[in-house]
Amino acid sequence: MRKSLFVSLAIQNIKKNYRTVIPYIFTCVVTIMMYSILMSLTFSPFILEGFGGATVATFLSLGLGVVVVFSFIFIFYTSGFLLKKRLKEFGIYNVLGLEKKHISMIVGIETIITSVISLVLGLLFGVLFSKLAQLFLFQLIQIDPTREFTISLTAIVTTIGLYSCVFLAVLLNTIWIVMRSKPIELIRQESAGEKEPKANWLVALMGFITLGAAYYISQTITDPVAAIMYFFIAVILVIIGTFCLFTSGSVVILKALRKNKNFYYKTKNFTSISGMIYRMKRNAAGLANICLLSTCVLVMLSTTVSLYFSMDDLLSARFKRNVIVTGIGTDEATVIEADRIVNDVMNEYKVAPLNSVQYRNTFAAFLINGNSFDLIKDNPSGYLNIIPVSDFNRFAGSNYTLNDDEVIVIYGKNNYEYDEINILGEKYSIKEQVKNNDSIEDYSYYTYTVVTVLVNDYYHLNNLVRDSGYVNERYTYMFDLDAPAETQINVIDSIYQDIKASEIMSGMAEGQETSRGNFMQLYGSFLFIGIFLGALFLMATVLIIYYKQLSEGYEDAKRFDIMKKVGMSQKEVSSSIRRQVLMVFFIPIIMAVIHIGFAFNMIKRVLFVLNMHNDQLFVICTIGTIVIFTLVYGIVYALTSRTYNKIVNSKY
Amino acid sequence: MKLLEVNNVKKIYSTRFGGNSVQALSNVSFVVEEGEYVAIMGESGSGKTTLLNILASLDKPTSGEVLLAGQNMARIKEKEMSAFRRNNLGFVFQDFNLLDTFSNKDNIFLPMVLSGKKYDEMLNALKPIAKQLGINDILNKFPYEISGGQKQRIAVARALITSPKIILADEPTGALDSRATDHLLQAFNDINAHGQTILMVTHSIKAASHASRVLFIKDGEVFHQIYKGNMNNDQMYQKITDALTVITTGGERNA
Repeated sequence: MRKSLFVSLAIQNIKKNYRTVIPYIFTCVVTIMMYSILMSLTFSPFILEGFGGATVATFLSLGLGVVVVFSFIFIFYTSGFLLKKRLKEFGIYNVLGLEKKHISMIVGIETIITSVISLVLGLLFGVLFSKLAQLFLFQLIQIDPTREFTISLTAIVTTIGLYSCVFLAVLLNTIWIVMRSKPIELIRQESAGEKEPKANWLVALMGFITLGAAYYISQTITDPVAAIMYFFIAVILVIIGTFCLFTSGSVVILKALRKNKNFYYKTKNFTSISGMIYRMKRNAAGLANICLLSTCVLVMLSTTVSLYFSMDDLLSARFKRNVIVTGIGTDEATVIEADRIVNDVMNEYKVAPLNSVQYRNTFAAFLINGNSFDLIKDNPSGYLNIIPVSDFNRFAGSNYTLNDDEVIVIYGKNNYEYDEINILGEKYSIKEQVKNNDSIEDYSYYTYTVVTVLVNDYYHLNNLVRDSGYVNERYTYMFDLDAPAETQINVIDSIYQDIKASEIMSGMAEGQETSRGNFMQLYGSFLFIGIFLGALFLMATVLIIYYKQLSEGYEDAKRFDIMKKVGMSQKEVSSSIRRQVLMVFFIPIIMAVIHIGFAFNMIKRVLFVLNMHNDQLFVICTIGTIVIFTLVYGIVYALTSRTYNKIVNSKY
Repeated sequence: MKLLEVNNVKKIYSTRFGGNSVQALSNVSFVVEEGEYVAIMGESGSGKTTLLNILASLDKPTSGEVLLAGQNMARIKEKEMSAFRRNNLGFVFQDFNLLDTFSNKDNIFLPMVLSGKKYDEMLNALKPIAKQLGINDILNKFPYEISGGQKQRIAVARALITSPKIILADEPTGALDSRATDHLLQAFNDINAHGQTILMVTHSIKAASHASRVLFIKDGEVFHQIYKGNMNNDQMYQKITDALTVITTGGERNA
């Protein structure tokens, strides 16, 4: 009898609080759905058995980890937030004679009901959309999408197990909050009023400094490897700076505005500024979170999208020709054997090599001092890349002649700044400088110095630099093929098998077509995770805003009612509401866009490391993501402000 | 001079689909002269609040008219309504209705800011009022930092700052203790002595006994009225008590 009373009370409460409960259940459903989808994709046999499937699975499980941590924090935080809003209601129950354990019982039943609904719906949608997600992922990584898809039982069991734990934690937290609360005091506290936040100059200043430092690092960094390292430092600085600025900086600025009498005592500024000071006190942390989440979404999407779309660029940057055969060693035997293998395979497949490039080179590490290349003490500071001028003339169609004490420097971005070069004590004068025609590797984007020289007496220098300790001797034979991808793959495979079988040489064969799959898997799964997590974070952002607006709405309704009584017109009320809601909504995203703007240089450098040099594409992708994100955000704004207006304009 | 004229005001509330209707005011007529201090008394449900809402132009009468300084309030356009209310009416509420987000000074300035007045102008208007009400010390504090009596005096200052034609007070002493009540009533007497017209709705006999005239409302009509004339507060108090006894126990309409 009594139990059924509690159950019906709990159901009643859920119905009554539909404005907050439905979005909460929605969040739970979506996170559970996403988790189960990711889970079943990760354990999908087709992905694991596929070529490079390990890469995809690794990225998926990485995403899985993020979803787990994120959903736990978010569900836990949201449920606590919603419960605290209802403490006053519990106070009334208390007065009416319900003990705390009864209240915990009711709230506990509510939690169980919402949890079960979330789990059931989450799994249902998870199963329904798994197929769709799989199709999408397979499309991105270019696996045959028509393959049968089975729902993994492991995924479902794991999902149920994990989220049962999450909801159990929520349940315990709920009971803990109720038990700890002193509801009677809360009823009375209602009219006590809230203190004005103090303007903390120190914290605000710290916010400006940390953010300034982060921006400075990002703007001044040029070295891609350093960019990766400093990226994390910059991220931490930005997080600290954003929180400081939103909590204290905003209050400091608003109070300064309030001091300006002529500005403050204007009809449109008066209510907005004073209202914002209080809003910022309660919402600063939430807004900072929204700002950081938005930044995160924007960075994730813009980078993954631009990487995915520059796949062909990345492939041709990595592979200068369709087929690249590399022999280890530059001795005559290796060169002859490599050429023989390539010719045999060409004859076998009846294809001809186009744009072929054949050359020997030695790559040696040095301690570079100006134009002097010395023995390494601890770490190398740069490298010398030595190519025989005769090899170069052959593939470049040039006619350079050199004496034994002369070299030609091949430069990439910039000219080499010296007239002569000193290699382990031997002087060579630089006869000429030639711009790299893209047949040989361009090292100018690398972090360390690489000087490429053409020499006359290759074997003499090769012997000389062997003393430097780190030497890499290679024979490269690369060429394009006018043949379908399948033939190209077969050619590469045959050459590779022959090299493996050869007793004379060792080496490898690779090419764009054999690596395309790998690249697809890598960047496709990158993009998939980017979109997946982007959607998740976007949902979180939207929900935080929705709850903020809702809870604000109930309090603002009272304030605006007073203002109406004192002589504020409906129009003025509406415009004041619009101003404040607009500010709360768009300050985080404006801040996020500023973050992105300053981070642009740094992210660009990080992408260098991944061979992505297409700045223009990155700019387009970044702007595109910002536009789409703002659009979605704007729609949410429109929906939210409608609910908010309804609350504010109804009699409280 | 007649400042406020209420002629045959009737107010009927009906449910949305026109089912049941409740008559809150059946036929109310009275006149308030400039400089008068009028109290309206009546039991809960007698229609006091409805009447005040109509006078405050927050609600419209079903029939009849309300004239303020000869102007029919029903004819004022919706978009001019707020400005009219701001410039001609001052409000004092039972629960103060101060905004915690503003300092006391800014709370007082609120109606002037809404009218687009300059800061210096506001400051000049505030000076005499603050002195009269004795609130100079608390101007820079916030509403949550001061007592109920002080809050109500801030609210009175807010009502006075636009120099309205009439102050409408809804149970102004309802949330105050007896000392604060005395202070406030004294303040009302002071501002009335300076020529400010006041119309107060109240339950409190004590509050009503300070007014120069008391109107009694019962069942949506003006049932009786008492002029203070030369009586002191205590005599007035006795007279109101007697009248209330007659109204509640006698019940039948005589007047």
